[in-house]
Parts: sequence; structure tokens; C-alpha cells
Amino acid sequence: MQFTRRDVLKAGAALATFAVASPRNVWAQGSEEIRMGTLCPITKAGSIFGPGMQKAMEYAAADINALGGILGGRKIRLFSEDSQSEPDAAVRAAKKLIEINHVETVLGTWSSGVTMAIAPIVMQGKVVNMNVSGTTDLRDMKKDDWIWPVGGSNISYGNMMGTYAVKQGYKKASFLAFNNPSGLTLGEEFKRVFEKAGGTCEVIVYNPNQPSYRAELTRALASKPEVIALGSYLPDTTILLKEWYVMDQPVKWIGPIWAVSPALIQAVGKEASEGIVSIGAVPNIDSPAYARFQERYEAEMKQKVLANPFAAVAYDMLVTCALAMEASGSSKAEDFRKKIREVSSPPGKKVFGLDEALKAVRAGEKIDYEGIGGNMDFDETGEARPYFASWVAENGELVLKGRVDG
Amino acid sequence: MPSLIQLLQSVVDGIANGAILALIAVGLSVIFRLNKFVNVAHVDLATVGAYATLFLVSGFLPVFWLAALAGIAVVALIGYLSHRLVYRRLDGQRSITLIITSIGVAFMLRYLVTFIWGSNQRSFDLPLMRAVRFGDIRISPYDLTIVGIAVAIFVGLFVIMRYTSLGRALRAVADNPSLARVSGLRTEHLLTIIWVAASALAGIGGILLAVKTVITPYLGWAMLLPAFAAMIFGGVGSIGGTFVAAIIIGIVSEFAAMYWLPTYRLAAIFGVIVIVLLLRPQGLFGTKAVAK
Repeated sequence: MQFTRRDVLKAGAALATFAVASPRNVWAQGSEEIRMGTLCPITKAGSIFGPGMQKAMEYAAADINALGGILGGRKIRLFSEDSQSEPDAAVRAAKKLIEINHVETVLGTWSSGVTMAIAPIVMQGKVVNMNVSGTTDLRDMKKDDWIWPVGGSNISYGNMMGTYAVKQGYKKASFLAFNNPSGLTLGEEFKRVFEKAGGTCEVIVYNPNQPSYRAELTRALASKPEVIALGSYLPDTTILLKEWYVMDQPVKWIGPIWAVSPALIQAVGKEASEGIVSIGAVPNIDSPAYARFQERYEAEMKQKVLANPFAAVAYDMLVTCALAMEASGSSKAEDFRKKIREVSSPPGKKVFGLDEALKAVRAGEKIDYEGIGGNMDFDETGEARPYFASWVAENGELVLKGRVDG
Repeated sequence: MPSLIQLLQSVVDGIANGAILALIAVGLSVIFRLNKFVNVAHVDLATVGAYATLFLVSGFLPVFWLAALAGIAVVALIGYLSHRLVYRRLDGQRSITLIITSIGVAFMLRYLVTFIWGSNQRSFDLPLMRAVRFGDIRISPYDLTIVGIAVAIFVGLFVIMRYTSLGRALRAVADNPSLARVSGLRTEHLLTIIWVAASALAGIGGILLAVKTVITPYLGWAMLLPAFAAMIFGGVGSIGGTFVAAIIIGIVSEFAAMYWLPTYRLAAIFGVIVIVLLLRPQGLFGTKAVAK
């Protein structure tokens, strides 16, 4: 078979027509469905959170679609990718979501490294990112309403852990910090709060993936602290606690919920974990919408909502974006990002349920959406700080002790 | 001012960490000597050993040491298969071809493990035990066991290589495979034995590492750089050299964390290695011919 020049020109013209017709302008303007992307840590370090976060966003999309959709009946279609908890994989996935799937959002990124890596891509691609990353760089950077941290910054966590330690009356502390921005920021903020209250604190920084942290532990215990605080992750915390148990030197422990979780208790056993304190974001238990979320999440995921501090807030991410779309009258990220703060932060009528919120927005009311994961009140830096609580490991279980206010 | 007790404690802890490293590194070193390439997948065999043991101990073989033996056998089998089905077929190819192939095998093993068991950390259901005290020095009973196993294995390897006909044949193959072949030795058979033994040792290292730490798909991968360092430092192909180098690396790492900064462990290790290699380019116990 031979091709003439005319055939080639015809094929080229057809391809050009397809190329012009296919990209995001068609989807954004004419299509019924609204394309929203999720980029959760389904595998590797964040895999304890990612599947639950993605599921929560699927619930939110299903709830919105069950209520008839938004913007005059348009349904939400989710495109989900796995960040693999790593920046390079996340960058590839974000590009795929933006360039191939033409999404308006990239929601649910976890770990500071991942979110910082995709930040320029989402801003350049003009899509909204909501994340549960805690680095201070995210607070300080110029985000122009494209990027919204909602899981609690490392400063918030360090502050809460320090506040908790001070309230317990501790005067001498050591802090073991994982050598990354998250661990270092947690350590700096903990030390600041602790020493401001009159205590002393030594921060010891360590690298990950070691067969032993015995030397680090020995250094942390050298000053005979009453408490060791952690800016760590689950694997290194597990090894640290195992080695501490072997050393048999009494000390109290405080760590963030992503490190001091039920998985840690399971890994080290009830004897080694007894009394360890976990500080973490806690869902908005007072929200009338929380109970329904809890029921279906726990039934389907076989995981307590409280064991995944980011699941409920992931639900809020998608709902907040949908409310902002409704308020702006547009599904385009460039338009609705400017309404995100308006529909979720004071001043405004506090609304808890999705149905109630959508009706109020359609009626032109100014609302302050209270999520099921947090209050979604964004401060001047664009960060929404969640509620915090403390848990204590008792007889092999993490027992919720109540809210911590810093 | 660091105390003598602290110093001795660091030495003890370093030996325990170095013992595991030695078990993993020795196979890497011997295979490098024989096949002239760094088998990147070797460290992933350590991971497979941990997961295979975990699988067996959770089901068919609830007795840990039996499950561990079976886990080692699984790793040895995978090592045998990878040699027969992959590397032997690439015999004579450039080193870079073999290295890239081994990276492929490494990824296959890691993602197979992830596919079957997921990414979440796991651990052996072994009881935690308080340290055994020798004066003010505290040693974990598991560390004592690990060092005991490692020493026994290396003594066994030394005896086999030095005093048995199999050992002499293996050394002949390692020194000059072509000459060994024309001398009538069954070099293919001997190479297979070496691959199986090296893989089994990686499996033992992985299981012991998992006892001390947690099991993730990246368990062995994290040991690649230290194992490579032990191989070069000890002298490529030298079993005793790899053991001594791994122990020194373990101790230097602990000293760096204790007396310098914990984040400078690797810097201290490689600093020492650079100094030693400047004085002895062939490594502690290597021969100049191999170094070239």
C-alpha cells in the first residue's frame, strides 16, 4: 500500500482536529463530568494512610454525585494515582493527571518531599492541590491559592508535642529527629516551646534505613531526660523502641501519630509500648456528619478512622473544592481556587453537612464549612490547622485521652 | 567526655551490626570475583529471605528456626534459578550488561515482594528481651545470637575453603576459571555451588537483619552501599577480608554516631575506606590482580 502526499495531509489534518478537540478545554467547558485527581501514598512509607485517604475522597465524590452533582447537575469523576510516597514517582503521576487526564485538582499528597516536588507542577498546570504535608516551606512559599495544606504543619505538631510535654511538668527532654525537613522542623518547634517554658532539650538528628539506632538512643539518654520526643516515622520508631526496651532505661516517650500508631504497638508489643504518648490530628467528632463517615469507613476499610489521621480530612478536601466550584460557578481551578477560603473559613454561617452546605451556597449565603476531619479554617498563609488530641498506649491499645490545645 | 564503657558499648554494637553486613557482603564479594560484576539483586535476596521466613512462620512452620531454615532454602533456590536462567546465559557479556540485568532482577524481586505482601512494615513475632549485662556493657540476646551465627558461618567457610577438596576447587575456579576448566574441574557445577551458597548467606543476613529491625520491601536494598563498601574494603573475593571489613565498618559507624554526628555515619565509613584504599588499593586482604 502506498501513501500519496494528499493522504498524508488528510491524516495530518484529522490528527490536528483531534488534538485541538481533545485537550482540557473541551472537558473543562462542555463535558458533564468534572475531572478531579487524587494523588495519595498508596504504597511505601505512607501506605498506612493513602488507601484510606483515597477511599474518603471516593465517598465525597459519591456523596456529591448522589445529591445530583454540582454546577447544574455535573457529576464528579475521580482519577486516582499513587504517589508511592516518593517525589520522583509523584511528579510522574502528577504530570499524568494534569496532562493526560486533564484534572482540575491533585488532592491528597502526603509527605513534604512529595508535595514540594509537585508544587511547581500543579501551579504551572493551573490545578488545585490540597495536601497533608507539614513542612514550613509550604507555609512560607507563595502559593497564590493553588496549594492548601490541611493536615497540620510540622510546626503545629511540634508545638502540640511541646505543649503536651510542658503540661506534664517535664523539665528535661531529648528529641530524636529523622533527618528530613519534617523531623527537623518538629524538633526545632518542640525545643522552642519546651525551652520557652523553662525546660532544656537536646535535639539529636539521625539518618533513616539503619540496622540500629543504638548510638543515637544512647546519646538521647545520656542527659537523663524525663521524656524523649520523636520526629520520626514508623519503621525507625519501631527499631528505636525495640532497642530502648533492650537497654532497660526508664524514660517517657511522645511521638506524632504517624509514628506512634496502632501499627507501632502491634510491632513492638504491649510491654515495650506501654505509656507511650501519641499526638495527632483528630477528626471533628462534634460534626453531625462525622458519625456516618466513621460507620462506612470502618466497615469498608477495616481500619479505625482514628488510626488514619488523614482520612476524614481527605473527605473535606474534595468537598471544599466542590463547594468552591459551586460558589464560583466554574469547575476550572483557575476560578474556584479564589473561593476556597470563602466557603470554608469565617466569617459565615457554620455548616456541617454536604447537602446543607450546597443548598446554602446555591442560595447565595456566605458559609463557613466545618469539615468532618477539621474545621477547614484557612489562616493567612493558606494552612488549615486540624484539631489535635493525645492518645496513650495502655495494655496494647492507643487510648484517646482528649483534645490538646496549644 | 566519653567513658570507657560507652566506647566498649559502641564496639559491641558495631560488631553486631557488622556481623549482619558481613553475611550479606560476602556473597556479593565472591560473585564479583567470579563473574566480574556487582550483583545488585544480591541484597534483595536478603529481603526475600525475611519475607519467605515471615510467610512460613505465619503458616506452615510456626517454629521460627525451622521457618528460617526453609526461608534460607527458598533464597538459595532463587539464587540458583537466577544463575541458571539469567546470568549463566549472559556469560562472557560485558560487566555493564550483567549489572543492568541484575538491577532488573532486583526490581523484579522487590516488586514481587511488594505485590504479595504490600508495603506496610512487618515484623517477626518474636519476644523482646532485656539486655544481658556484662558489667555496665549491655548486649541484646538477639545481638549475641547474631554474632554467634555469623562467627560460626565464617569459621565454617574458612575451614571449607582452606582444608577441603571442595574449597581448593572453589578457590581454583575463583582464581582462574579457564585454567580450572582445562585442569578437569567441573567449573559449572562449582559456580552453581557458589551462587547457591552466596544467596543462602544473603538470606541468613536478611533474616537476622529483620529480627533486629522491621521487614519492608527495602530491607536489603538499604544494605547495598555498606555491603559494596565492605566488599571493596576487605578485598574483592576475600571471605575473611569481607568479614573484617564489615566489622570495622560497623564499629566506625557506631563511633561516628556516638562521638561525631549520627548523620555522618556513612561519611566516616567512606572516609576510613578512602584512607585504607590509598594505602592498599586492593583492599585489606585482596590481591593486586583482582583489584585491577
